[in-house]
Amino acid sequence: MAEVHLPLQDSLQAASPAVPGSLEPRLVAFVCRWCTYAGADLAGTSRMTYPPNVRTLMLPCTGRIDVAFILRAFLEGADGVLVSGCHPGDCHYTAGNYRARRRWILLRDLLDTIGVDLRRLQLAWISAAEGAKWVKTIQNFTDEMRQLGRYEPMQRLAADFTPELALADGQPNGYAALPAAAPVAVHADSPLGQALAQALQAGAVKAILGWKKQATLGRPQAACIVDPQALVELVIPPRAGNLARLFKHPEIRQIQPIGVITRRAEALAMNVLIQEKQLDPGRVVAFAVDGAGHFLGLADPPGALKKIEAAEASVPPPDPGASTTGLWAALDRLMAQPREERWAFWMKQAQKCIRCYACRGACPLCNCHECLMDKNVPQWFPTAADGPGNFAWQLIRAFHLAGRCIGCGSCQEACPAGIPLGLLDAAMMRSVWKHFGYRSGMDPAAAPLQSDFRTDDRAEFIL
Amino acid sequence: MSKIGVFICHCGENIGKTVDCPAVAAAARRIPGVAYAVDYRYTCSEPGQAQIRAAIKQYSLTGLIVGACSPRMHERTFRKVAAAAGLNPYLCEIANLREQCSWVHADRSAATAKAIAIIRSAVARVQCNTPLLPIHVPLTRRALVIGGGIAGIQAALDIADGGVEVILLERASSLGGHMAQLSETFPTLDCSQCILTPRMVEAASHPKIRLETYSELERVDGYVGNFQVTIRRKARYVDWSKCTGCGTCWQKCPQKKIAAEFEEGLGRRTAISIPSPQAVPNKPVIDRANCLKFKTGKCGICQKLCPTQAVNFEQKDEFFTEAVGTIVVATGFQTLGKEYFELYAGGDHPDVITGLQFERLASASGPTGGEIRRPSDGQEPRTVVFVQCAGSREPATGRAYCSKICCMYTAKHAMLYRHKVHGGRAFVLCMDVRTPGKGYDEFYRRAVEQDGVNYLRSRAARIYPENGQLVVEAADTLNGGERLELRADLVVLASAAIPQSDVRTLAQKLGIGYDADGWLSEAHPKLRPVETNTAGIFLAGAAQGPKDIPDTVGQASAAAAKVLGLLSNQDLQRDPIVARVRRMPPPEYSTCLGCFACAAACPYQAIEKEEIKDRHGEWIKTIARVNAGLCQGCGTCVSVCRSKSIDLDGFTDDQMCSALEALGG
Repeated sequence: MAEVHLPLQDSLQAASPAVPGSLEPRLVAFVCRWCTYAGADLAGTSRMTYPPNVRTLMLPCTGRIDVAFILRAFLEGADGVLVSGCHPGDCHYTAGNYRARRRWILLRDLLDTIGVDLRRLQLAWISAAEGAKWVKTIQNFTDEMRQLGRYEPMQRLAADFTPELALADGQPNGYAALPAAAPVAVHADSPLGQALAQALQAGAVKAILGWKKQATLGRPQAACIVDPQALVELVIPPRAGNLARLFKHPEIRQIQPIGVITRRAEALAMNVLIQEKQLDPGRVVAFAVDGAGHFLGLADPPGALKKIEAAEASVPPPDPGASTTGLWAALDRLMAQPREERWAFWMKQAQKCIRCYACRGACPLCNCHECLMDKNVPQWFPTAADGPGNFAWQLIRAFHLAGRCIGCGSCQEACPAGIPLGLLDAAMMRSVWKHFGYRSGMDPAAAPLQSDFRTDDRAEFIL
Repeated sequence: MSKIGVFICHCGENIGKTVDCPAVAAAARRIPGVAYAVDYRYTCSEPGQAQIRAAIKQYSLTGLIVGACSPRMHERTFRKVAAAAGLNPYLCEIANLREQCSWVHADRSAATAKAIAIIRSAVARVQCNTPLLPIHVPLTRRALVIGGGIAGIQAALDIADGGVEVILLERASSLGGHMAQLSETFPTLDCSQCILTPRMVEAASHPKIRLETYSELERVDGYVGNFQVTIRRKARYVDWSKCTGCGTCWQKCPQKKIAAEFEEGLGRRTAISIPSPQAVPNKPVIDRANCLKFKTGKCGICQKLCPTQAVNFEQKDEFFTEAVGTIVVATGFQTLGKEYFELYAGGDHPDVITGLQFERLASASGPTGGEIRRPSDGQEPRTVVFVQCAGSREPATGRAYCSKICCMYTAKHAMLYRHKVHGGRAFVLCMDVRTPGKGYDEFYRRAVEQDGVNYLRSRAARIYPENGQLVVEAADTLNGGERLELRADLVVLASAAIPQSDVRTLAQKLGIGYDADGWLSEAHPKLRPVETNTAGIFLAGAAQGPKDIPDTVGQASAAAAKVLGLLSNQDLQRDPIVARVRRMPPPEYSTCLGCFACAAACPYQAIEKEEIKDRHGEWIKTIARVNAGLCQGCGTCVSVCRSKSIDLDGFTDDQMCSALEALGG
């Protein structure tokens, strides 16, 4: 394998006191200004010494340290990343470190799912008085990284990438394992058909969001129906893209009030949209239906969820081992493999990604007006469908949906290459449930998970 | 193309010894975008600064990197240098080559390589810097002083004398605080009332001071220069605008047996009362819990007899909001009650009293008219034992600190006792005697040498009553802890000064810090002793920690000077390191979705809503906007923003990514 030239390399090659030719590990530290940076200064004023492998970047607060910075540091060739700030309770800005800690908890689980070696990411609380702790942390981290050697799998992301053109093969992996029943037609004289027609004719709603059969392939397709005559075309498919994604369109948002045929997935997604102030619950009429397409009544989205929960068996929370089939079982199978296998699995998947962003388009909650992946000032990650770019995209997507994803599987349904993206989201859903007892979409009044914190959030992995 | 100037400081030998500074400067010269790079022995010296100023002009530099000590040391210095040469100060960045490079690494080549990497990263970062202008925030030229003790009175008077309007808030019905309760004051033994009462009257009659007694702080909104404070004026059941303070009501009130708080329980008061004859304002309030009218519905004698019909049983709490620019917190302290000391005669013996109770006994206006009498039987005590450090300096019981005032007031108490009771014996049990202060040690020596007070270095272990006296068991700490037994008629505990019981609630309302004991935290223990970490809020007096009167008055005047200094500006200038929601053309566009994840994460409520409308005034969307006056620049909002629509000036995503990318590359 050809040596890949990475930016951090030059200075450390020169810096290496070890055997010629050996490469010293490169460490990047993100630290807060008030505690750890001051602690590192104190180490200097006290004339303590530590290995020169670390490059420190100062930010005002650990709250400012975006997980994208951490991913970026790895992609720039860091062998280890240290993030450090004030001890809990000591934050100069009251609670930035608590919110950072919540992100680290999620990030660690995400990286673990994808097979990143968690020893490469060190988190610590180091106060302005703890110069000695800074020295010890850097010394130990450098020693450990010297033992582990360079983080080659990460650094070979670009070199090892061989694009693989693949089409979804329908192999069962999580969502695809769900039964594929035929779409149910909405008859005009059925309770749902009558309710829809009545609401549309009486002007209670100006349009109905639902599905109809696509003319050519016969697959269900989202539809916005304004003409009562066209209601006959509606079908209720057991599996189809989440209708709530249509609220990303300004044209759809302007139709008020609007009716939505609401399965559990739509109800959950609309609840998140309400929580994030993207949807006014008073202007949406949810026509709740159960999994078999039976009409359950009219309500606002939170009310519709209650009706569906009452009618259907409640979905168990994403506990490990809570289910032996479907998504959670697929996740369990993945996590049972060794870390290297998980990494290999995801790298194989990443090679299939052509960055068409169908996943982004199909997701009801991937609703940024401009995606971070498309930004060019700064350009955070490669826009091309290459190793580092695809790696970053999958992680950023899953992280931005952590605490928001409702598990509808639309992303995975939409992927033309059959990448089991839903597994990453499932890992995040499980993490969110395990650590914070939180299920997104259940309570539109809840604080956004990543903006919130508890002083007793789990922290044993932080030095 | 940027033209960056790089200045590598040797810091004498401090950097130069470990880092090859000329080599670093030479490497810097090769970085694209660097127009000028040089090393110099002491860049922070005047010639060093002159060199920077000259280079900025000569090479029309667009950015400045100083590779020197930590930015925590000289960032401000070098930013001023940049400004002096016409370069926006925020285009200057410091590369830390000393504390985090030369001082911590021994290997010269490794340290030099790391220094080059640091410079490279700093150059990349500064190329993304944008000129920032100080933020101007309007200012309300008005102050709120919380607490009407000597600290609050002094601060209010000083601020008002400076020409600024003051609202003086006090939760009791009268000004005065603890100082009004004291008999004489150390080290001069002048009467506390005699020096305090004129200040109270002065504060009440000052044209620039508005007195709000019997009122409490309800909530605080806003930020430095622009606080909105909501005050609760508690129901007094007396219309003070009609009341003349004639005293008919409290003379005729049938409820006469209520323990008087002002007398520390040693005297009695009525249900409608003023705390002391010198009260300012001299107007009564009705104590609802003890008033017969409120308890039984019958009575109302005060209402019938009041010559101005001022009594009003229907009065309710009133709430009102005032705009102020700054706040002085002078809420004082309290002392540990004797019930805390169970080993000292069960904590409820009438002849075991606290220092504050002794003050009332010794006060000419007190319940005994200034004669020292035992509370139990009114006899003159022949032997008094004073127990110092009662509750202080005891890490085991949670208070490791020294209460600071007790050594001096105990010396004073013993002295006053010896003056008032001829032939009486005074013993002081102490760990040691701490008398730093002008004239303080002389005062203590006087107590020992002239007034014959017996000081015993010992710790009181137990006190119990026996035959109408109190037996004080102590350990003689000069004699190997040998048991000491004293028979006393009266025991006075120099009980610890402790924070007000509701100080934490107050601190949370104000958004200021407090330490583990509950004393309010100053911004820096040495250099910013009267400021808090919240801009515009200052501390005065014992709320910050135990203090005697001179220190309290000194700190109050210092806080007043800070207030006047702040309010002497036309408006406020703030460091422009604040978050900003990105806006871009077409006019008023933003990628912000308005999900307000930022608002949920902001510790300062600095995120507001803003409606974007088209040119016809039609609503397009509601997005976030940062109130630069409230934002403290932590950047937590930036990390939770998925669409990266919000950024932190001075630490933008672009700057951080560039710095990261260039680390050693």
